[in-house]
Amino acid sequence: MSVRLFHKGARIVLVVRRESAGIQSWWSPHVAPCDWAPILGARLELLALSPSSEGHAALACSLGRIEWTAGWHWSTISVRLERGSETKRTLVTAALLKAARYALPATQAN
Amino acid sequence: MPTVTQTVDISAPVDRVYSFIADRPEGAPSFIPGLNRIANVSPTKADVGQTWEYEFNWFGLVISGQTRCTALDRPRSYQFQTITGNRSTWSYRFEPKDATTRVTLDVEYDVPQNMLARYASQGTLEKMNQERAAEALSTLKGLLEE
Repeated sequence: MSVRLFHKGARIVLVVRRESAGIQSWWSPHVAPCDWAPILGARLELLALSPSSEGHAALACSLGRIEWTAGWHWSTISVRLERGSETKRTLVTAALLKAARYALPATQAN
Repeated sequence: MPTVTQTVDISAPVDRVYSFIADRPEGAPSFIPGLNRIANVSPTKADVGQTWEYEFNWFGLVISGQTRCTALDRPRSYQFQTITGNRSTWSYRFEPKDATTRVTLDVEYDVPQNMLARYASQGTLEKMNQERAAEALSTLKGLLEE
């Protein structure tokens, strides 16, 4: 058992803009480029939202689209979930944000 | 040990609801408040004895440990226990009702004494845990319904 104040390997991801349910912009500082595709894609897959890659910095799913900049020191992530109920879009956005902050990259997760 | 119990009716077939919870434990952070990370699920197929590691934010403290599936009766029941870290037993029951599924969650848990001191009374903690369990099932319903 381990008790700590912080999660090991957690990423700082701040919500910088909330437009409506499922429409948000996030900003994340980091010390090396972050590959968001496996992190966000895995969560979309677990939620049975049929993720598919759209280029090297975007994912589409049955509710909408997520795209990001792939900078060295920070990323901006744009979540645009425009289909489905307001409740579902809100909950999926929250699940994606949790994954962005805490999910381990696939190589570390298993 | 204190226990919290919550029930929700979800407009989805029982097989889908059961699979969402039992077949991919990695998905639990999507609907359980405070559960931020699950890793090292082994083996990948859900069965009694399957284990995984968790990190849980328990009202300000990050508690990590290991979990083990202890009972599985598809699609009627599913149970796992945290075997290190804060001891708890999570039992799900699934009852199909027409086109919906009634999910009942029982969580039996130990109360860490340092947290008990922080929140002054066990009653306060139990209320907070009841609210968390209700939120978990409400979120589960929202994610599974169209």
